[in-house]
Amino acid sequence: MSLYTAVRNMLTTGTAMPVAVGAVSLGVRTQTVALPAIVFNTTEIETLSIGTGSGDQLKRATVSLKVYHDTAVDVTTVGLATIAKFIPGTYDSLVIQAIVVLSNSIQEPSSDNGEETNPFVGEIIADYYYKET
Amino acid sequence: MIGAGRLRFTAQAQRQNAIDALGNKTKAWTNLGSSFRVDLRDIGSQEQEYAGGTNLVQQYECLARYGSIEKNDVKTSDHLVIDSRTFNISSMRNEAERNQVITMTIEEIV
Repeated sequence: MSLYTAVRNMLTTGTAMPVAVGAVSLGVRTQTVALPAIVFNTTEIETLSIGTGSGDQLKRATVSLKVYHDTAVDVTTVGLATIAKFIPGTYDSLVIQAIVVLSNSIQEPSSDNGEETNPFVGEIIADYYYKET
Repeated sequence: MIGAGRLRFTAQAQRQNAIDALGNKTKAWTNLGSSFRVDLRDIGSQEQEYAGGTNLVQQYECLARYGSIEKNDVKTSDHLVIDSRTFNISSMRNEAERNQVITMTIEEIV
């Protein structure tokens, strides 16, 4: 039971997948995986003073999801498809009760490898509110 | 000069022309002029950071006749497609300003 697995399960189960299952990874894009890809990580986990027992306590995690694709238009499309997968429910025994999108932005691509623009990267930052069952 | 026997490969230059709704170039690459003969020499490779991960970047030196490059108006912003492989052009050099041989450094992201 981990938040990381829960976040990945949320993005890789069901229909209308934003990217291929193998292209969703924690921390770093897997080498040889073709774009589009999603790389996620948590920046903060806080236990809120709501609930009493250890399993009942509501927790909040700030999750950063980076979307990599060839163009800004593609990143926008995949970013919206990713947000559409933010569906509360039980994932890896974590009950995700609510997801609040804090920002959805596109960052500047680098310009090396003989290209005017390398792949664009979009960043979605969201707060996940969850309980451990 | 560059001997015809060394020009073992056929290259097709491609260019991005279309602009998308956000003002960036689209992914569509269209053929530029006609194909031309080139020589290709592997000059090394290196794994490096690319799109949130690591990719192998393979570098080649690509030699072409000046006339081929001039006729097709090939620029460093273009791609070369050689044997179905796509290469980014990162530099072009007019050897000794002789207008005879163009040496390009091209890169393939694997």
